[in-house]
Amino acid sequence: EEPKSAAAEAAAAGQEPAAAAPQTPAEPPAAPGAESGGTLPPPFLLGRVEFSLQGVETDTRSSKFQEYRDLPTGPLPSLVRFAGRRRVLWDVSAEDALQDDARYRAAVDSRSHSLEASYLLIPHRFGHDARSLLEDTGRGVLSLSDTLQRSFQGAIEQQHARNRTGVNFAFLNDLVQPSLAAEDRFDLQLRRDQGRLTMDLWRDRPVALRLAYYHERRRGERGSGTAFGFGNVVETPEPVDYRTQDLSLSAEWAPSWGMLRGGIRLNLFANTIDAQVFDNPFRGADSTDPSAYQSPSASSINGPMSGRLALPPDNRSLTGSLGFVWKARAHTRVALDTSYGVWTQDEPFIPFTTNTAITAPVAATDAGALPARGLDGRIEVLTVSGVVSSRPVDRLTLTGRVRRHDLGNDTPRIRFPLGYVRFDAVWEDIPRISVPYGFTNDQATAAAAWDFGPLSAEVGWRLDRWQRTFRETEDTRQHTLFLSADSRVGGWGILRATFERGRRDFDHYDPEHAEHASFLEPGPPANLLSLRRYDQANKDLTRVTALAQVTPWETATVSLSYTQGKDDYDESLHGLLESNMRALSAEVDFSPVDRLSLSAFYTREDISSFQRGRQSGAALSTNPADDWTADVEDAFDSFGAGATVTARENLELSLRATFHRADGFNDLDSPPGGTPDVAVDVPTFDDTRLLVLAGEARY
Amino acid sequence: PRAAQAPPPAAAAADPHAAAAAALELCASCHPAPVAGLTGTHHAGVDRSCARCHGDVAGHVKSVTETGDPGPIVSFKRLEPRAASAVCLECHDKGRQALWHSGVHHRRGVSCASCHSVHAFKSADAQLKTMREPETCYQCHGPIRARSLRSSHHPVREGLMSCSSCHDPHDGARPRMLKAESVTEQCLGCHTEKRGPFLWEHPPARENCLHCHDPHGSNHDRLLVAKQPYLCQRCHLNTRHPGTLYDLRNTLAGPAVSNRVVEHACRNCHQNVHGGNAPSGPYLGR
Repeated sequence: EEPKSAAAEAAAAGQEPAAAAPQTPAEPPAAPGAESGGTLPPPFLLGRVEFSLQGVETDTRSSKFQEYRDLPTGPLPSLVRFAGRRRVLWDVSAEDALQDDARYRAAVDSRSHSLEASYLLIPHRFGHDARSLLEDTGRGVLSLSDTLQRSFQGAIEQQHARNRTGVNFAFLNDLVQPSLAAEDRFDLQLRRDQGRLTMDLWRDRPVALRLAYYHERRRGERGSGTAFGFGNVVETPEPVDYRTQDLSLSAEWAPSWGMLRGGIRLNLFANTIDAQVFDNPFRGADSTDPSAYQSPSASSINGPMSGRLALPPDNRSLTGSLGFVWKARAHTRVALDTSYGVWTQDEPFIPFTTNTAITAPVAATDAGALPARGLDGRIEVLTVSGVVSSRPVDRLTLTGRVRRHDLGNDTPRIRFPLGYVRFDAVWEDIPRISVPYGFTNDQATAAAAWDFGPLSAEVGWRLDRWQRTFRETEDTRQHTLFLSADSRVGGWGILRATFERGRRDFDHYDPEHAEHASFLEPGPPANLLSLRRYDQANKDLTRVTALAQVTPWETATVSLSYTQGKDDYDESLHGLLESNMRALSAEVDFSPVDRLSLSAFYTREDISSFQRGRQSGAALSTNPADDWTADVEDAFDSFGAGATVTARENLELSLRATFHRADGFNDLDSPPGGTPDVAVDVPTFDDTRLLVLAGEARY
Repeated sequence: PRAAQAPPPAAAAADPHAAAAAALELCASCHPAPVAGLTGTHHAGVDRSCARCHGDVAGHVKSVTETGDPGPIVSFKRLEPRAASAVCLECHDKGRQALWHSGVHHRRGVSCASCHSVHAFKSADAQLKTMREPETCYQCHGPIRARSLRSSHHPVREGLMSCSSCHDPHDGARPRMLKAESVTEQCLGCHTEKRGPFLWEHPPARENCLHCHDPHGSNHDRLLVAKQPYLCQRCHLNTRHPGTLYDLRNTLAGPAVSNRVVEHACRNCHQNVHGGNAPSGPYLGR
């Protein structure tokens, strides 16, 4: 389990074995640098190569246990690191070389300039031993053999002609299982290959420059739902082949009075696969049917022979920033920063559908039938922030912050006056228009702190205001009052506590306005009018944190912390009505002797939420008996303990254990007499257990 | 006794490096481990050597020699947090540290020395007191460590990310000490495919990823703050299937398994929940 962290240790290489500093002058050991004739910086050289013999035992070949890492067994080159200094510091290292989670780094660093290059691999394993009828034929096309596809369609047509109700899950399952069982197994995973190059110039001078380049390639597959309607949803491997590049240049001028800084950054995202095309196992020929939502079933066996899903489009952002800091008198510091970014996206649209049977009102497979070639999307993001901190008198500290973050979505609205295609199966005659959502977020904070000596206290106020376009609310404001106290008890204790109490209110809540924004011919509202979406709903909020840290001896530290939070959506009838969290943590670190260090921690968390929904049919229900509630309680226990013993100068033993348990319970309820009439609780609601025992001997 | 070996003032003036080296030797005679700890860092070469941070070294030597008392030396263990940080900021008061004073760490009595060590650091980067960066942060942020142990998590416990991948503990200007201008921009730094703009947007995703995700860890799939479909039903109680109650009977443990509950749940059909670019995807399903 221990992710080979020995590289970190090596940072302190070159040190002599720790020894207690004598209180009176003693016979000195040879000082570092003595052999270099007294010139600075003293040279040093570190060479470290670690080979490990690793054993791994898990109860299953779990993709969750191996989600982000390789866990090979046998002899491994865990760490290779060489570092040193003559004129400059240099450092070259490789961790877990040649594995899927390898980390490579090389750096040179003089006092003035530095250059660092790193290459990091991050695997992400979603699942092992998957099977799929569909085969990836490249560039996002997942296909089934035409023969098999037609054979399935033929069998379904025969059954439908013989007995319609026989086209059900059991029939379809029996139909595909033999072919599915014959498929090879594969792992669903992707990997991020990240390369980074950073160059700092003239760091020790008033004007410093930084040039950075980042490149990431993400390749592999992840699970995706590919649907032809409710009756035909299949998880398929979504192909991932992304490339992200980031180039930035920043400069900083730091005269005695403050600092002036600025930069420019270009970020490019490219997806080599524009769309995922996936065959419909149950159709060998295109057809259309208005009830295709349920196909194949007793009501319909029609539909498309394939579907198409747009994958993330190429996009780019260009951001410039400028700011200054002014160091004024009376310990006053004033800072103003601004950044302006433009995000664009103009990937060509995919056609309405792959279904050749849909020919009216437009030739839906033809990109020329679209109202626009691409989005020509453009978002402008402007951020302006100002900070003032001051100590006008010795014990008083004042802090003020204002910030505006404006996301202006200048993307043109695209009209689809004739409608669109639903699930590649049928033309949906519902005129739509795209909605370029934007917002402005204003934040302000004012705080005053007084230092009483061993105790300092702060009182403050915070504003968080959101102004939105096209949404249920136009303006929400949250005011929060906060108090905090920090105390240092002698040299051995720290006590910290904060309390926050806030209230958020909106100007008005208009669900119809928001829902109608994307319809050219709005009909009656389809979303429950009494619902209040929790990102905008009125609420009271409370936060409490407390921390006590005691160091009774230099070799021991004990920490206790408590956190509590509550959001009470007191004016909402439906939606999220309440959420709570409570966490208690305890931690002990103890080194009774130099060669032994012990640590342990425990955290208990309780997270709960309460929401109310209402079930409707084709029209919105007004019957309270159709309500249902979900009262979710998640309890978490996390334990950890570790011991490290330095048995001899070159032998270190460590043991570590962590245990994490999540117990969830979803208490569902519905009043009798409505629809639903009964609700059945979910007693094991994402319950998980994670136990890790790790032992390591280092010689 | 070692003081006798220090170069005379004239030599120091002629070669400040030699003087600094000699000063290091002087201090190492009594404090070998702290001095050795400097060796692989730029602190070994600062002007005035140890005296740059610890003040009157000569006075200290004199006092110790004559009376056994430490004398006028600056000991960081005895300094108040602000005073300790002030020493470091004499050199480091620029770049990311320029707004340290307005940050919550400074205001809550955290000092540079709370996390960093000049003489006995254990990390490969940033001279931290712990071997791995998150362990430093967990000293005060214990519940965050507990969340990192959950089944859905960023690769922090695997050592492939760290707290400073997203947060800058020195910067007092940005909300939540993020490195980007907003939560969403921070997330988009790695999840660039979700930046858009898109033909069909999902407004909460455009505004704030935290509406639906907990980046520190979750027992629900994909770092979600609640399990699907209940998460989605906090905002979508439309006619027909969005408002429908899904309970135990619709899970894999029940008799009426629903594809609106299992596997990707709502995302079985609404895959492009962060925004989609297909003309036939107004419900983010294509």
